[in-house]
Amino acid sequence: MSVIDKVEDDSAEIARQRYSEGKKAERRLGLMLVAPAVILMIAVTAYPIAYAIYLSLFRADLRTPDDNQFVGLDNYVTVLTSDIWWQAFGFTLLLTVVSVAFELALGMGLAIVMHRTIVGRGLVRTSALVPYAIVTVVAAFSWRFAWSQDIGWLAGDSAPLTGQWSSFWIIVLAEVWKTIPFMALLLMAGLALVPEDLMKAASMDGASPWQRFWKVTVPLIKPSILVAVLFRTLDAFRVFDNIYILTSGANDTSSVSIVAYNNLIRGLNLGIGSTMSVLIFITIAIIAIVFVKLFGAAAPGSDEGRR
Amino acid sequence: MVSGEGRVVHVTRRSRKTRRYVGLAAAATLVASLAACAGSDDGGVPTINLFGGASATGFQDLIDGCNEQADGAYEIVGNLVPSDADGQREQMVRRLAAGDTGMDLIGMDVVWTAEFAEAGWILPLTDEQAAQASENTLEVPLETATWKDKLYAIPKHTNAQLMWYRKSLVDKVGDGKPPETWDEMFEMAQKLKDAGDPYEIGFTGARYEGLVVGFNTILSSYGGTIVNEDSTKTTIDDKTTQALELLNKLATSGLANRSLSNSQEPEVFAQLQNGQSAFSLNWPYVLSAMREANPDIAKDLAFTTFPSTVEGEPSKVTVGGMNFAISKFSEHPKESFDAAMCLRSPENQLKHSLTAGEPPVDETVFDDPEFKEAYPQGQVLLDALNTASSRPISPVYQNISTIISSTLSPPSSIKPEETTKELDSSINDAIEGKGILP
Repeated sequence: MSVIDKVEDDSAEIARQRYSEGKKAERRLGLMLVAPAVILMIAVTAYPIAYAIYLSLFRADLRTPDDNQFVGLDNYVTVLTSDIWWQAFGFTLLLTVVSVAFELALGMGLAIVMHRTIVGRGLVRTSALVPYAIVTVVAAFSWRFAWSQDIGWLAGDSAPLTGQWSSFWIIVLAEVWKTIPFMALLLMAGLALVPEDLMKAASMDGASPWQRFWKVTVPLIKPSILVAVLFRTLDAFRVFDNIYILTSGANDTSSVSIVAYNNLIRGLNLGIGSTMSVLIFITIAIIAIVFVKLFGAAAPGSDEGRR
Repeated sequence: MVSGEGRVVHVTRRSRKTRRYVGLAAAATLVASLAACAGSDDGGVPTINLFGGASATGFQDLIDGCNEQADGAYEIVGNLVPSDADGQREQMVRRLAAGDTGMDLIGMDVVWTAEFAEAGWILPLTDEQAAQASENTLEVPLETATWKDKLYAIPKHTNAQLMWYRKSLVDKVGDGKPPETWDEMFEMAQKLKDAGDPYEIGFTGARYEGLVVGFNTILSSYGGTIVNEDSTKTTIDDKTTQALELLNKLATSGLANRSLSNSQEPEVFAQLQNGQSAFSLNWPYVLSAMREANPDIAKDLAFTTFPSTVEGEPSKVTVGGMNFAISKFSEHPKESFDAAMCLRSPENQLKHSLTAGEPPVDETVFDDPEFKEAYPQGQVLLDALNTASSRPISPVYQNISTIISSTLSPPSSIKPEETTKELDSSINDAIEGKGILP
């Protein structure tokens, strides 16, 4: 081994050491920097989740805080064998599927409009966002009055909020109207990534606008679509405020969140209420896993994100 | 994947700085207002924070009057609460569960006593206080303020439903005497219907508290109850079945309004106002409201006690109203009691019954000439109150009420035998804390 070789070898060794030391220090710094955020996250999310799971194993009532009694999985049996729960579960699921489908279709339309507008782009985008900026409860009250018998401009002398199916469609309408802008915004971010050259090339090859949309745009923005649909599905499944204001669950229009609220906040039954919250949490987790694993939606925060 | 930045990103970046300032400003305002909150109540005069009932018409005058009278002993502050009973209870429960010292006096719906008392959230009155609060006070309102033989609240105002009817129509099919029982009422309504006259019976049959009130009146009139005195088990029996049969008969006889299952007080009032109803089971406010809404109908309007279920026995109407309770977490329980007693002094009860139409709980007020003049239905109401009933007194009343209104809605779907069993098992579950609420 020549001297030069040796020197080179040594310096490489030193460099490697320095490098790994630097990396270690960097990692330590990194951990220290994220620690406050992690601790905060644990405090505000992990702790309540764990506490809800703990409470769901007890017969617990807010009125008698010292009387908690461990009942194992009894609460889960009660909830999962209850017609009320499954009725609400089915209603929520249907509501989720229908409203997200409408939101996707209409949101895509709005996204394209916002993306393609040439004049008054700022105005178009701002006005399209208005429904999303209005507080849900306020918008829901407007819908409720609009659909109230005799006083509402949409209702006339019918009373659509007193029937299950008419209420269902009004809830869908309120949800869709409210969240199209959110959907459109996420999709528009995707549309911005579609290279103009590709569209021109496709057009040169004789692809019609319809074909360009389905064969070029949609495959390219698939990640955006999946993320948008995932977010909205998780949101829609937890629907609360619109139903609370519009029907407060009358005529079998309760969502799972409404039922959980009725038991937890109105009935003060911490055990059953927590059980329902945990079940909603599990359902949401399953939906998210299905999306990520089956459809390959990028998990929020992972590297192969939207770009 | 193609890389590139969307235009949206730029938009957000530009406004980030501004947004941070807005956030800071909002946080600063919040901190300042919190500090202001904490700083109050250190002066010499104890503040009595009243929650519930404070926003009723003319109530601020009573508060002002009492504050003046107290002459520095206390200062009542009326706080705004949600307008619906459920919202009020929710806010109060939240404050009580958190041990809020900023709530002293609670204007409770009559059905919350047992729940709040059992949870240890409200203070029982001392013997001396109880004696003061029961003086000249009607029996049934006192009952609603009592839990396990202790008086927990001071009755403030009460209420009971009456039967309103159209004189001209009753004259037509009878000897001018209003029906005394449900059967007589059905008969008269049928005759009116056959003759082509307005015939409908107005009843609060929607899925809400009003249906529970109506059902409880019918059940009590049959002599039935829903839970035992300590609310440890249900007392549902064949009387319940009888009551359900009657309710179902009303819904399926074709004599009630078509939208019975969707009728709350305003709808029942409207059906009377537009001339559809011949009989209307509603609260005492109908008379004064009808004078404004439809003077022609008001002239033809008469009232009597709620129809009974058993001939020769009076009906037992369900009382409504409000009681004052003192929060366990109040720092001024003694002053709170004095404040409550002032707010519901006979003079103030009279004043309030005239301004807000809330019937007094003090017997002597019913004899007052001023009251008699403004309240022609006073005597009938007093009679009704003397034979009244209360809704099930139970710490889980809220759950029981929800179960009843959802099980009985719509009344046309009631199957007396089956529904009785269903009620029994779900209310039992609620008492044991294992059922779930719809």
